[in-house]
Amino acid sequence: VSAVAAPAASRARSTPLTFERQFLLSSHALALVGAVGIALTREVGAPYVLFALVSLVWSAWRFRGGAGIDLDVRVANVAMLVLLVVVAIRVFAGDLSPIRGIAEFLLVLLGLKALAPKQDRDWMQIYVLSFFDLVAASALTVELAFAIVFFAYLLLAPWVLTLFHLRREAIDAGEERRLSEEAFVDVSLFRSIVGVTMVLFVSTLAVFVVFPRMGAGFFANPFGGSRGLSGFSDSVELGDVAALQLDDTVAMRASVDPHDQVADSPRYWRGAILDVYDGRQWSRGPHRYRPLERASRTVFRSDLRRARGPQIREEIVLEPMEMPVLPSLGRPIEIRGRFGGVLEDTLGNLRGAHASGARLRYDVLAALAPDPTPPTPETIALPAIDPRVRALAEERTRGLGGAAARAEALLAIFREGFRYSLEPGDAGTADPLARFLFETRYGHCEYFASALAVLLRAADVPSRIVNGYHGGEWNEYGGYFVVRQSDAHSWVEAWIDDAWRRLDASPPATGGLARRRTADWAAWVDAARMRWYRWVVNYGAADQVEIALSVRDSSRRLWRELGDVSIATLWRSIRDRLDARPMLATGLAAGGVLAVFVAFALVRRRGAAAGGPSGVAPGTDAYLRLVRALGRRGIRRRDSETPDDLAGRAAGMLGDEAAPVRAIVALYQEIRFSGDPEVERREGPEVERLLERLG
Amino acid sequence: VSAPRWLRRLVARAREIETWTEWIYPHRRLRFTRDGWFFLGVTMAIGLAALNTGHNLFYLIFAMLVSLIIVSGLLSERTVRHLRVERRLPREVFARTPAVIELRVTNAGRRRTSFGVEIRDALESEPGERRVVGRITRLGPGEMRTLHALWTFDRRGRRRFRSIHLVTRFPFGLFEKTRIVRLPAEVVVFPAVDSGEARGASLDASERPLRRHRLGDETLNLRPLLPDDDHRWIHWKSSARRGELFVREPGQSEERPVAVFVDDGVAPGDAFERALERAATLVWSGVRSSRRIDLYTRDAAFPGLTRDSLRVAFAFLAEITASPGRASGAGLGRFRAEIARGIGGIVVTSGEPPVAGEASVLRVA
Repeated sequence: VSAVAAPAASRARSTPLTFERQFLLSSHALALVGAVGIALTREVGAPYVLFALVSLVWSAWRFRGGAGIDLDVRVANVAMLVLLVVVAIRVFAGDLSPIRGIAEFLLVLLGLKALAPKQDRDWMQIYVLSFFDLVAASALTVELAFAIVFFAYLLLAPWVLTLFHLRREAIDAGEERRLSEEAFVDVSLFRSIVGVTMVLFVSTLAVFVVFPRMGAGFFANPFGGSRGLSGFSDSVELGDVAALQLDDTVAMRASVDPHDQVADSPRYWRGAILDVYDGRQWSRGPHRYRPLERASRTVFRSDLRRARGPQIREEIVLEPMEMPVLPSLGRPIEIRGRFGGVLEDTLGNLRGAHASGARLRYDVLAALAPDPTPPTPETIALPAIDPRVRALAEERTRGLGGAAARAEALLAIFREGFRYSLEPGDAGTADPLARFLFETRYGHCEYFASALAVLLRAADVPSRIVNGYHGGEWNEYGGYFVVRQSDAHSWVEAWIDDAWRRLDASPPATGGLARRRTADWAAWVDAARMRWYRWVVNYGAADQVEIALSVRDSSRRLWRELGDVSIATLWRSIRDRLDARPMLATGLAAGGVLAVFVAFALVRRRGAAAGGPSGVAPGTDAYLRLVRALGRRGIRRRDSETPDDLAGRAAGMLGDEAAPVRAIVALYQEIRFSGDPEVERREGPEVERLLERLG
Repeated sequence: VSAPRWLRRLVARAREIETWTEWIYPHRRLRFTRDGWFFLGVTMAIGLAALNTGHNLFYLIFAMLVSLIIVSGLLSERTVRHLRVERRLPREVFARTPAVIELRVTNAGRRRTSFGVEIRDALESEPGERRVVGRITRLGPGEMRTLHALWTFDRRGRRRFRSIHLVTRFPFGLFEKTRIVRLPAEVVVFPAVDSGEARGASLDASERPLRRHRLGDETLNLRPLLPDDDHRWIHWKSSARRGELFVREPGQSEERPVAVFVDDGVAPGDAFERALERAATLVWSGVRSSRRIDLYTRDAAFPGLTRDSLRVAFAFLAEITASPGRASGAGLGRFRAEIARGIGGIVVTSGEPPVAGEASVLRVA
């Protein structure tokens, strides 16, 4: 390590914000944004992130301080080589994914560059590294955090690149000294760059929206890991679902149309339907999965196309799951999404063929009517169970004819002192259901559901267990339900009146974890996150078509409306629209006030720059009036004529009447060029008098 | 049958433009810098990665890079758009002598400062890259900067300037935007005026002062008094010594006018050029020392040159062409007449000198 002074910085100390200081600060900020971008992915080891961040902060602090130590370039080069070899070995050994290896290497490279002495070329390399950090971050995450990093990068990049370029030009021109002494970045440049940044935002958005897509975007990072949430599998032991309830992670977000259809009713998001019970574990019988009809590349249809009853449309964003279960409200008639295929079995279990560990977005058209698919033999089979269970079922259903009545009678059992608990005690007893029904009388939803299903079967009513989610919190900012792992739930479907009808034995007030309501800001952030997922991460060709069609329709409608529009109808239309959107109205009003204020400020500023309140230099107004007055008399000013020329020509044409002309021109020149505002005030009335005399 | 108007305009435009990019954007040229090529390569790589993977965040970064290119174009345009350039040429330009050419650059914009503008200029006879005549780091609204560039022309003749290029790499240094300012100008380069050695030697050869009698304060002679002589001129001392009245003969000696004849009836080439330069040197030094100088060629005559008329003569010399076997014209006739009148004459030639009485001959090899 060698001691190297930073002369530029030491000179910079004398002036608060010199060009050099602005350059150094913003350059470090840009590099920091790149490193933070990778850090926020949480895919790279903390030591690498820390090294880069600490190096950058140290470098910035050192420049601020004026002097310090620099890492020897040879040491830095050796360190880079060693790291390259280590990363390569780890990648080839399968210990590290290539993209993570690259990200780690980039971070260390950035850190070393920050510690090493910097020439012009080194700054450029730091910018390049920072940019590749951003690219690596984009490959490792699709979270909202990347949006913030990207935004910061967009804000800083034009500024830093401009400063870097100006600095290089100043050095080339031999004006290096000025960099450390002058601010150099004047208001005009600052204004330009601010304007440019705004153009950059708009342009980036426009290019992103219109650049042709092949399909839909990924909903998860295509290069990241495959960590998924625990979901619902084909076999579930008692207690598995309850374990999910302890997790407050968001499992899915779903918007439903029409919203009223489900807003006030209990929402049961069906996941896995299981029909075989062995006394401790529920599983799916030997039912073959068959593929749904593929109507197009992304559209899959079930046999329920002609199903009667109410239907709803759902747009679901499912967080990465370990199992390819596709939860939905009701029974899916049509599913749209990027699947290799969609499979369904006779129970109605749906499985999507897609990359595990990937966030998934799919649209579902679902029927809310009960499933009329006949029961399978497994739905009535009972394992060896405690005789008390069968006796209880017989006792409660004795004399009752219909399945509905029997089901109702059995459901009533659970309203007799049963409590909900996520800690039902040891599930390892020989017959946990018997223990639940006759001893403890408390348990979680799986105990309630399993007990009811077994009792139903004991009473000759086919039944099955459905594992899924219950409820979900409404996000008013995003217009969707947020369903968390803690909403995981088990309920029963029983074959009653030739259809599978839902029975939920769990005490209603305690279904799921008692949870605090999400704070407003958190809901807002979640809505922003959803929009980010929906309109950036998952933006695709279909959206482009939709936007194009929407623009076309809007423009046609606009033209049509403009064809027979009157001020009154236009105003009414605007008012109606604003009434419907009070936020928009408020925003427009605020924007209008702001625009007026800005326009006023600009006019004033321009006027001040030109030397007068109206933007015209002092005295010029009088001269222009003179020119107009002469024009009325047929003496038109020629482009090449100075005021004196004009006065001379006028004198030749007007004779004695030209005296005021010469006087006005003389006064105009005095007012205009004396630079003394008093002159205008003093001579103004005289000019007015002369102008009146001239007519 | 004349070509249609649009075709004529198209051909005129094709002659006018300097780069193909002007077809798209008149008077502009855009080039990538080394950093710009790298930037473009990265942009394309990210674009390909986006297309290949369908990953929208790659599209987002690609959009940002494309936008930076767009914004770079906009800002560079703002930098050069409002600049006005004026080229001021010196009145006298001699070959091989550095001439100062002044460029005035004004930012006519009301609010925008121009940053990092390089001004390049070139002659029509100099194809290829233009020379950088100045660099402006910053030019605020309404400000003017004057640049002085030293130009040395190798040969005499008429030289036309090409358009001026206002070049900027602002704001990011990725691209070089050039605004082509059509500013036609030409300069007539006089023949080189050489060292005083030739000048002195040549004029000395023709030194034979003229005397103008009865004028001036100089005593030319003493002679016996004649009846109409003014008695005030009697030189008493000599009269006393000789015993006869002698008078002073007043007079004023003048340098003899020199007529320089440049022979353009010879073969063109370097020798002719040297002869021209020698003649120009003679004439120039003569005029500067207030001597009366006449300049003749076979067809032209420039008698009694002064500082002002010298420019006309030099402009003529700047563009004169040698033509072997050119007949003796009016110029040569007048030169001979002047020599016959007794004026000193020098024939400067690179070939066989024409017959011109007592004129001395300066043959340039």
